[in-house]
Amino acid sequence: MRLRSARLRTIGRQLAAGLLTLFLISIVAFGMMSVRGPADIAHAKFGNQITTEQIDAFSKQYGLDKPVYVRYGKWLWNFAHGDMGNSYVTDVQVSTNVLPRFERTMILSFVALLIALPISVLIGVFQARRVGSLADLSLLSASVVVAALPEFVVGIGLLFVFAVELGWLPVDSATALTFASSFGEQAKAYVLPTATLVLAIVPYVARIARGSLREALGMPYTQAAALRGLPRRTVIWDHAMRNAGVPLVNAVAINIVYLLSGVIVVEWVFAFPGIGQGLVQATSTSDAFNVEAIALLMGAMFIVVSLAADFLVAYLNPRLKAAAAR
Amino acid sequence: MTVRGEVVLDVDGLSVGYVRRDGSINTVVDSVSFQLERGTILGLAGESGCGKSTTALAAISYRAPGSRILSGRSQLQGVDLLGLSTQRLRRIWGSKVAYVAQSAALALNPALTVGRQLSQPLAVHLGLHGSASRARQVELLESMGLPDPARALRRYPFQFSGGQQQRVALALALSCKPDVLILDEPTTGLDVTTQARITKLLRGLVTDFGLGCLYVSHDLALLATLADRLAVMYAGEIVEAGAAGAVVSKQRHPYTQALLAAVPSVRRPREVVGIPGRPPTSVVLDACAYAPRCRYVLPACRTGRVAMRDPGDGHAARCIRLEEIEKLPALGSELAAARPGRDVLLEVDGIVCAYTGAEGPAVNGVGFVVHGAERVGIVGESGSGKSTLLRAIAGLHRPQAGSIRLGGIELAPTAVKRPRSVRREIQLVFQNPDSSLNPRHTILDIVARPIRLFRDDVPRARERETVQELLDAVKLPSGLLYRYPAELSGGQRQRVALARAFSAKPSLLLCDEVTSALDVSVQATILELIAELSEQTQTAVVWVSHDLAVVRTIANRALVMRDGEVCEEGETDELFAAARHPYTRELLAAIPELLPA
Amino acid sequence: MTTTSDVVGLTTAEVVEEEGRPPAAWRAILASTEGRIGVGIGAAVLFVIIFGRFFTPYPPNAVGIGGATTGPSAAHLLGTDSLGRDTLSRLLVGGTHIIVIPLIAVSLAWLLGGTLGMLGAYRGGTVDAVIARGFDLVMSLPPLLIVLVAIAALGTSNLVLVLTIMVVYLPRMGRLVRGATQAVITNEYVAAAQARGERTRAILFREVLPNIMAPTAADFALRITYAVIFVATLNFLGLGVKPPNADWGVMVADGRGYINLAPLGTLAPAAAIALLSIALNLIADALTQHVTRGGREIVPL
Repeated sequence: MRLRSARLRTIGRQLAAGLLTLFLISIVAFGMMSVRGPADIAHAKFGNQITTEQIDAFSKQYGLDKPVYVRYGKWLWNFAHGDMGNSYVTDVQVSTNVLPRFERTMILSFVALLIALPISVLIGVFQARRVGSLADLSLLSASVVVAALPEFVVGIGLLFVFAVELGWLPVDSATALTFASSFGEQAKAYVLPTATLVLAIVPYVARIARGSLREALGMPYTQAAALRGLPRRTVIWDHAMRNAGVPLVNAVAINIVYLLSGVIVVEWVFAFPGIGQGLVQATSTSDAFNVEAIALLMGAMFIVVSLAADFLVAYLNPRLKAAAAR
Repeated sequence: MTVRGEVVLDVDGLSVGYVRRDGSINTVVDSVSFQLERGTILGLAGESGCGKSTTALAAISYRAPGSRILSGRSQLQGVDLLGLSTQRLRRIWGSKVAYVAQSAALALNPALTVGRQLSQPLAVHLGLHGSASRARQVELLESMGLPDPARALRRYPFQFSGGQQQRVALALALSCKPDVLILDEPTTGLDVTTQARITKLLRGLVTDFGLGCLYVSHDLALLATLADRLAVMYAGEIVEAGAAGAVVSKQRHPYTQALLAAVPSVRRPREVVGIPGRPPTSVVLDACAYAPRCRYVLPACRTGRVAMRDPGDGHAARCIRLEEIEKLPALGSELAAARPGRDVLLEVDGIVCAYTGAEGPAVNGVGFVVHGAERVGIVGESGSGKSTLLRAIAGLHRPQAGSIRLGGIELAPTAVKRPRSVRREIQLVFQNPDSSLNPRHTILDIVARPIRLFRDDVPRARERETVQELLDAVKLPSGLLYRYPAELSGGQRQRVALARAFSAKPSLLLCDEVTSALDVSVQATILELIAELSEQTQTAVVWVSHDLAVVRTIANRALVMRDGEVCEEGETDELFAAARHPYTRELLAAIPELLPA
Repeated sequence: MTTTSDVVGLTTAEVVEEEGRPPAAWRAILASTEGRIGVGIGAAVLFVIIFGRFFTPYPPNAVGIGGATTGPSAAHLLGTDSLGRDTLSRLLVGGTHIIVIPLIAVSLAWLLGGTLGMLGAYRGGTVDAVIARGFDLVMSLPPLLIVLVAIAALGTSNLVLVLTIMVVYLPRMGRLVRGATQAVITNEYVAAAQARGERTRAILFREVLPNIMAPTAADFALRITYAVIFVATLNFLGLGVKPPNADWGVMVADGRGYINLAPLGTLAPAAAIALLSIALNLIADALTQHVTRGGREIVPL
């Protein structure tokens, strides 16, 4: 079928765009981290008493005397083969620092999305069905307030209530995750960070869901479907939602990166040993290889999520398929 | 079998209101009664805002958002629909009564295949699934005259043309063999030849299925040819009702009479009369709603409500003077005629326009001339290239080839490159005044702009005065200078657009579907005005329209365009009386016509 | 119910059905309850940010004014931090950074992005394609990520913060202006102006700009809100304001370790940030509601 091949082509194009973005992130990260010369790095590491000869030796040892593009090429090549290099700040293998962190962050982010997205859509549908009612307006005001709160404020609030006052959950996730072995203890460490992320995502997505469904519920095709005597369920979920889904998923796709960036802050608040925390630490010590590796991994994660959204849009919107066929 | 004439829907004393922001109720439909009989079409005619669509929806107990049914009954086989719960209505909607909305393009769900949309009512109302459902779907599409039904089921609505979409919508409506079919402007926006095909199909379906059909439309001429009975609405009331032929031939209400006089016709050159004033925004309960605009008004009309009265022949009207009215001759007055000069003003030669990505050129080698003070009509269906041609003359679309000369001087392809004098001489009026007037500018700003740019004879100090003179000339009420376009009615806005065009003192006025968005009574007043102004100021007019009757009314010469080319050209009197090109004949044959040949 | 007398006066000014020109942005904000609450809270917080410095009971950066990490007392209403500095004094001076940096950065992003977006939309063709691709490219980079990378590479300073935040918002604001302009220029009043031979600048300023101000203003308000959160977050992460200067975000981070001993040290500045951000968000929301109002009524089911 023509539509199917067109869909494949759309997917191919989006994959290529994703890879391109990843490539761009790697260049930006590596390029910017190369602004600091070997002397700055050596001074930061060994103090100001270090001699020019020592700097040269240090620079040779880490290959910092080569031109940027050579170093970039080598780094990218090694990275693609699983070697993320050694940090010249901590002298620790980047992969041993980053990979366990990456795993935890992946779990945290995807669990948060898995919880937040269905809740948001349900709240949005609930509101759109009764636009202007007391329930809708209260939820709307609540969402404005919650959306306004920075993640770290929400996080600190939750931490204070559930960890400090009630003592139900750990104040410090790092200890729980790195030392405690029981699954229960580990899971507990995820609760508050996940809740904070969910609270950051829900008001935002629910609002878009409400808006786009409201729009779709006002369209003539919805009226026509209702006047065909179709059950309410069919009218809302098949007729309205299928159309509301396109702007909804699009808006989520555009903003998901923004929302997921919150993971960086959330990890810092709860001392959660993920790549977000790793990134902040590496940033404050200008740890080039760690910053670059994390930038690339986070970028890849974001791109996977927005690709998933793109595919969903292509599935929901037949016009897109036809447009691609032309 | 079904009996023709059996009443299937009996609507009695239906009143509908909208809830205002402050909680009070604005009655927009009052005491409307009508019956739908099997195998017949009742036409419900009226201008925008008269409450005809609200009536149609309320009759099947659908409450539009914010609306409330205030009183009345609507009986379907002895059951009053207005008293039913939504749950029970859902069993009737789609199975016993079907509704086809204004635009099929909007009423069909863009994200679902035609097959899926068809399968839903079949499953819900008839319990058809799988192959039985599929067979019925194919059969339905086939009976609507859609080519290759099996393939059509897998396609999405946007993959069909406008006419085909309306056929799909009809298939959906008739899928569960309803008794009642409600249609709200189902052919508005379609080309006249497509409209003719759809209405022919519809007539056959109504007869074959024994449907009781309500056809809502603003188009009196269409209803006159299609409907068996006709009801005319004004300000939320039915003011006249009867057999379609009777209503059209001897009107008993002054509004119907005025409305018919405002309908342009290809058989009645240069004769349209507008209705001054505007209808009230809600139902008038203490007087005849039409009294303020009526030329036959009596004091009694203003002091009490007028009841619907039937002298005994089934043709009723809401007028105390209905016997006199029906004997009065239709008001006729001719538009100011064009007096073309000898000199060629505009010369268009071999124009070719193409859009990037389009298959063929939109305009393909068109040439014509316009003499001074002449009114030339360009008529064609959508996609004929008529608007693109006009934009090329205005310097808004760069043609690929060809030349445009004004007063013998070759014009640059884009407006910016043309000398100021040329830009002054050619002025443009657009279809939609909502879009052609900047909502953030006052009427004064809008009309004064060309004066500031082009009129060296008007000093700044006299600008406001000049604008007021122009507003007077287009017969706008005083006190509008500092208003914004949103505060004006559609007709008034189009007058502002005209004032802006004439403020530059042009020699050539380009008009693009100027009256298409307007009600017929307003259209007539605008036509009167343009004829008068162009005659007074000796301005030539190029009038682009899809409406042959309007072109016939305003223009003294016309071009018929199709697929980017001119297929026939001539004096309107000859062209419309004896068309030579088969396409022109097809167009003329497709027009619903009020007047006998 | 309309009576005949309402209808007769047809020859003079006719019934006004809609308000004429859409009201100015600030009037739209004050017209809604939400907006009024936002303006009320916002004004109070801004008052503290601007004039708080004149009412500090102690020098905000003076170490050891009281004991280390104490709870509230008569001498120190909000207690002291781990270095014995007075929390209230630091709270009164700590809000400047998170409002000034966003205002400058977002204004710059708006000016540059808006100009590019409007020009691209109006010109179309290659110019537009280049601008749109450029926007897409920058937007494909995760915002917090590039800001962190930039700070890791260049170190932190107000200039770096302003520039990086500007880079993050420029394409987003530019894209909105571009979209709004594209919608406006399909209107025939723009074609009418082109047919009159008006210059590009006149068309953009006279015809287009007044019609895209409303959505643009709403977007601007929203971006300010985001940027305030953004800067507060960077400060919280220790990547913005450098010690010893007082800042709400920094105070939240510093107090976090002592949340058991002196919760107010972290909760009070957190509340201040929350109030500011809620106020800004309410204002932005009131504006957005105003812009998008008049959507279709929904179908009763």
